[in-house]
Amino acid sequence: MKWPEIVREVAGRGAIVAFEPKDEGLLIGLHGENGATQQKLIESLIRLVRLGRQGNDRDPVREATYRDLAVYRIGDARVTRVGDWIWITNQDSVGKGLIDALHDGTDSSLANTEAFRTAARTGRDHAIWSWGNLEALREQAGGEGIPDRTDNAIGELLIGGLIDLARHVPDLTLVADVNDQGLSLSAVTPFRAEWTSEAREYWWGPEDRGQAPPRLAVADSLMQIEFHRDLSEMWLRAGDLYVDSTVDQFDQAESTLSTLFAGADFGEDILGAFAPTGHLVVARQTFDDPALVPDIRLPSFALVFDMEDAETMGPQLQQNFQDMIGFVNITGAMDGQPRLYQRNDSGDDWELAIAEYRAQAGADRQAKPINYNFSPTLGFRGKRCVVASTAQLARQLVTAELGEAPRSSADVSNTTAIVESATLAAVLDDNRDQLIAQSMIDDGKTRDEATRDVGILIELLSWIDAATLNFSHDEHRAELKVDLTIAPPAESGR
Amino acid sequence: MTSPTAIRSASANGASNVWEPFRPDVDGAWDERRVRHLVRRAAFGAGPELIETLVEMTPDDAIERLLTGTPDEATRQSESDALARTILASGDPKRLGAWWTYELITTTHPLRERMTLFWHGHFATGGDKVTDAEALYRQNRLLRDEALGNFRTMTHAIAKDPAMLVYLDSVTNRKAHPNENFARELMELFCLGEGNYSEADVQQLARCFTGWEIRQGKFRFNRYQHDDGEKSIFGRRSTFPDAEAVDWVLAHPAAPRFVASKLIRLFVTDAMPTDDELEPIAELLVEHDWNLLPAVRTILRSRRLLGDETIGTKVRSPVDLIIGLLRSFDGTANASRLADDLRRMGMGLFFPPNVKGWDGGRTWINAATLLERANGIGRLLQDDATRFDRRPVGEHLMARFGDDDDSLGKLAEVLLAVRPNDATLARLAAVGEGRSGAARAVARMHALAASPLAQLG
Repeated sequence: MKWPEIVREVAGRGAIVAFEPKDEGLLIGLHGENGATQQKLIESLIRLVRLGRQGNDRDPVREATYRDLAVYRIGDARVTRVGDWIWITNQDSVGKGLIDALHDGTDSSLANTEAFRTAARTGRDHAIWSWGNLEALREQAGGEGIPDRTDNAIGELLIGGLIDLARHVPDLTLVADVNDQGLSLSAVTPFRAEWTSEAREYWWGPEDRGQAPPRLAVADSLMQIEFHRDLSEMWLRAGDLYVDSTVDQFDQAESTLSTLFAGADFGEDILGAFAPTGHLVVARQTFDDPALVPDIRLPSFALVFDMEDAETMGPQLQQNFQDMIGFVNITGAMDGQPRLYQRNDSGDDWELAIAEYRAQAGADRQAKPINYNFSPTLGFRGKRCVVASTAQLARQLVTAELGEAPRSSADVSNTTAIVESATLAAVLDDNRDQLIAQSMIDDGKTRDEATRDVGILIELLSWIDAATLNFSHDEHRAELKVDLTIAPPAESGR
Repeated sequence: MTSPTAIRSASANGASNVWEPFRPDVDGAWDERRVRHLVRRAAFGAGPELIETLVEMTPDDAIERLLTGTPDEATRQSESDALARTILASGDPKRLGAWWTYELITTTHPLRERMTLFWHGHFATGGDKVTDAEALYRQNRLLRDEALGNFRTMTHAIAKDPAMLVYLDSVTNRKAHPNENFARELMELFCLGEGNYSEADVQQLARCFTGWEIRQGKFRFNRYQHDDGEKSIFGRRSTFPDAEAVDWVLAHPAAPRFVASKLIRLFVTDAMPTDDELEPIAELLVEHDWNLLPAVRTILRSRRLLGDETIGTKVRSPVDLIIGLLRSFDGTANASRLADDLRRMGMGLFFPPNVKGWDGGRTWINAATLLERANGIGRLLQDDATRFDRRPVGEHLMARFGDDDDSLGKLAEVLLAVRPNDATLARLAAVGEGRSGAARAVARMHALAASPLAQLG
């Protein structure tokens, strides 16, 4: 019998993996098409294990019978066959409980719970699905649950709302599908409005209806995140969200930023002047002037928001931008840093305030410093405000069209994201020499070895097209969905 | 002031015997043990292939091989420069230390690297003060280019080197307030040593360097701030235009003796050299107008260095210990972590302790550094990135030395300058008992490499 045939007859109808936290019991079930083949496999396995026995060693396989079923113990594993199922577990209690349930039936089976049945309905159309009892996990963790406040401001901004859910959701269903286009993973949980905390209204939006904006059309984008986050509210609620040391840092930042913004209240007046939705865009940048190419080539990044009152805020932000660049030039000059030159650029309905480095006469330094990755730019078009690390990206974003609203089975998409693998590969390729040098010095490789390994990494990335993420919910259900698409074969050689 | 020619006459009284060449037929066998001693002193150790090659050569040819490097040295150097330029993009002097560590492990001209490291300690400049990584790298290139070249050329270049002048707080030097730092170190630390100049000489010499400034990371001569009046140094009155003062310092009779002393201590002994040892080497420096090669060649070829009585008598620096260990096994490792470990052991590359550099000798060893040495070797041997001849450490040791009773003795021959006695070997053999073959081999190597005997080279 050939291997594919054996696999089909032993486990062709699927597999189940279950974990029981109380006894740390693991249970694996293989559902096959032929019980006789399964039995032969078990017996062959037992013979193989016994062949490995040395001298007067004890028999490594212990046989027992439980309710007329032969059970084999090999090391820590208990194996039995019931019909066309092979069951493997590491705990007697789990194995006995299973056999008892199969013989006698049970009312306390997982399969009888509504949560599990809902998960099964969700999962049955997918290649792989699993269900986890989060309530049991939380009980297991005891008092060491998720803390109320964090010291990680970026983490809070990204996943603060998910922390609310993690405190309350009773269970989690994971489903996965694989097809010609790639891999799709989804985590689905129940959702109740009362689980979202008041402190995180900035994250969820009023009545949990915070909707991420549609995606911007950006060339050479490496990553884009669209989100609903009321940053003003987050800033003002810092005391509820962050640990005291982080709140102190917020206070210090508030003081400095208020100075830079001519005495305006940064949380209330400045952040409050923006709509609670935005975009974070990271894109590959290209360097046109050979005299201004840095040795480490970073991608550019930008934040895009809508202003509530563009006529008032636009000029004020421009003034603040000029002040800030002046401040950077003065402090940079003390460290011998090159200076930023300011200029403006404009079109029919947009304008940019740009600060950029220029080639220095007589400069003979071999390595162009990392500063040359930046040409800080502030852009406006109507209500749209762009704060970008480079003029190149700002110019693109200030006029970029909005795409269609993300489609979702649920009705509110709070956060969406995309990572373009081809651009990531291109950014790594831009820094190939750096990666090779790092591999040589940190891994002790020769240049040839490091060159080969970095080449393989970049090649592997070019096989993936993109990864998208969407977090959405309706009144009863929340879903975090990740799709990984594979690059079409014609493009795999990029 | 005594003229340099006085040195020649002083050394013409039979003292030159000290540096007579080693003769295998008279002084001892030219074998693996002696070649290992030579490469330990001159080249941070060597792998089995190079050891075998050098054993098959005559002593003179073997030393010429070390002095000239390999034929592909130019290509290798350009690759090294490319790697350095990439590292410089980070702008972090600590990364530069990792780069140099990588170079020390992989260089095909280890004697030149040894000399570069020596000059780095001599013209000490540190990244704790000079935060411009490129300036430090440029100085390092200067030291490497002249490592076996000309001391006069190197000293002139150092006098205008931005990293050095920043390190000595001498970025500005005005005639109204001459900065004495460089003038003092030029005489005390770089060329003459204490007791060979007066405070007045320092003040007068400092006037020669007024107007020497660093602007935008480059040397600039500001003629308006230069004191072009007459000065009196070591009894000579002159305006000392351009850099003539540097030449005048080098013309002091103490200068060749000072440099000769440091070269002898680099290769031969931790003790202060005797006059008989000093004079011939000082004379060679003067005779060859400060070209270093003849002096270095004489020391390396000598019975004084290669004789049995010199083997295992010098305390190994952290770089000698760690890089030597790796090079002896054609090893590679995570150079960043290694650079950090060298720093913990008291020898951070690009981070000398002060302008005096490292004192060396017995000062390398104290309770703290000895512990750091043992821990550093342990981390190195346990690190997954560490490879001996491209293989995991334990696997290589098992394949090369086996696991029998003699394996520890064979390993000791590679690692140690002095063979441990049987009792020590027996004690070390018990290390790692109960572990698997490869793990036991690594544990034994750790014990051997961290033992007191391994600190001598």
